[in-house]
Amino acid sequence: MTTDWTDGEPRIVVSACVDCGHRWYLRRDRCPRCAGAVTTTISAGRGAVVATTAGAQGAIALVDLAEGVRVLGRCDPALRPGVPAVLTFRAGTDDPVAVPYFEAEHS
Amino acid sequence: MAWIRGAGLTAFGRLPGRDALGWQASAATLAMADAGVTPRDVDGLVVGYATTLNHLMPANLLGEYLGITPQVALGAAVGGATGLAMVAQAAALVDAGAASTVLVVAGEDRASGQSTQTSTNTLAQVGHHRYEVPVGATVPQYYALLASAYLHEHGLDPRAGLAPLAVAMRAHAARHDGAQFRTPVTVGEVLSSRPVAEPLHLLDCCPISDGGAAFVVGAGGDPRDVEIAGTGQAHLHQHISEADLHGFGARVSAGRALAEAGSEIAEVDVFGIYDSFTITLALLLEELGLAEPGRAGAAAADGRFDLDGPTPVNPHGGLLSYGHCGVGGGMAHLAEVVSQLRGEAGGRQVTGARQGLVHADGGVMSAHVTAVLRGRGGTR
Repeated sequence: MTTDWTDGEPRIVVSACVDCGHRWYLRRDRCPRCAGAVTTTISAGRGAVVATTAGAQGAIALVDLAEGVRVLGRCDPALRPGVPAVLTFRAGTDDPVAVPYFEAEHS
Repeated sequence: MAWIRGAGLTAFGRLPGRDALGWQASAATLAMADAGVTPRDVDGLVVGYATTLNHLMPANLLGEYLGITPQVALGAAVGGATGLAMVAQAAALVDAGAASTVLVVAGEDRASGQSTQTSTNTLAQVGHHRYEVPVGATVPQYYALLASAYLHEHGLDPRAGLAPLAVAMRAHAARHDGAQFRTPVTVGEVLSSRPVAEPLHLLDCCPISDGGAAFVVGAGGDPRDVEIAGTGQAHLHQHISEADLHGFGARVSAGRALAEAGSEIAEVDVFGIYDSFTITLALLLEELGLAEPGRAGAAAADGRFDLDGPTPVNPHGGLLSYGHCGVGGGMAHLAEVVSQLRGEAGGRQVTGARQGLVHADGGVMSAHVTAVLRGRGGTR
């Protein structure tokens, strides 16, 4: 198992099945499609924005990473669907670990 | 074959004075009276979770309270789809001969029994405990993300894509004494209401309500009994990052229910479709084939879902305007369709309604349950 941002390491780990090639984000011991063994890679942190919301509760985004998995993170409130995004990590005052934060690629 | 023999639906709203058990008992008493049965007759008891109770044994708790000593008891939790899942399970118990008279109940003081912040935090736990909850996302934000993706894909704005659905549900609720919100609203009022999670505004979101709903399921015989002609489910994901945004499970679930009923969606006269947010209703209507992709809002604006439209949806006003007390909220759609199929909906009656379809989702479009209902005058 490769540690990731939920363990305090500021990175997103992408899991892939060695048997069927399926890729996913949410940590598991086996492939959810075929129960095959898992190999992991660290995301390069680039993707395309699928959806965003902003408001009093903060701004969050769904982003399709280039590695082929969809990830939830906080984001720049100006981020909009359809644009390229880059991944960073930020911790608010109440956060035990830094969480994924997406902003526009050129900002 | 199992039938809905009795239905009980309380008024919904901010109605202090009862706790969750009190709302459950009120709804259960209404349903038993409607069916003409007593607690002694009930041999199956299925009860949904209540967030204000958070009890491990909801059926045992209510059974003791009402003096019901069933031979089968179970609690259930599949989010907003729990009510229909319990009815499907009740029908299966009756069909299997495991029980003859099953009482299905939900109720909660969700509005007055806890703060809005507590409710929001509780509901947010449907997110992934490790990868989503720490980001701080709430249920309105999850649905706002679905709305954002939907509006972007179809090149729509909230005025055309979402607001007309809120207007239509409010127009329906104006005809029901039990609805939480009965004053008509305009598209402009929806758009100018407080932003909750852009693109969703306050009137795109269901309220948090107190209330309860219950059914008695058993073998039919009375002319008022409504046949549970088919049920179906689909559970394809739990978390938004693993959802198929073009096939959440509604089509699969409804297909299974319609196949069991030996029917087609074109033969359905009245619909009860889960509408926790305007985007929920848009996505479900489109996946069920009741609106073209990206056209649910336009169809609502055209009156397609009105009482006299080709596909009447939620004549009671839905979660958006009748209200949402948790598990009981998703059961109100079924209670309304039962009233419609009995011809007892009064000023909300859909003329000639003989077959109904009710669909609910739980989580973030995660759990899907569909039921096809048929009145005594139903075809096939």
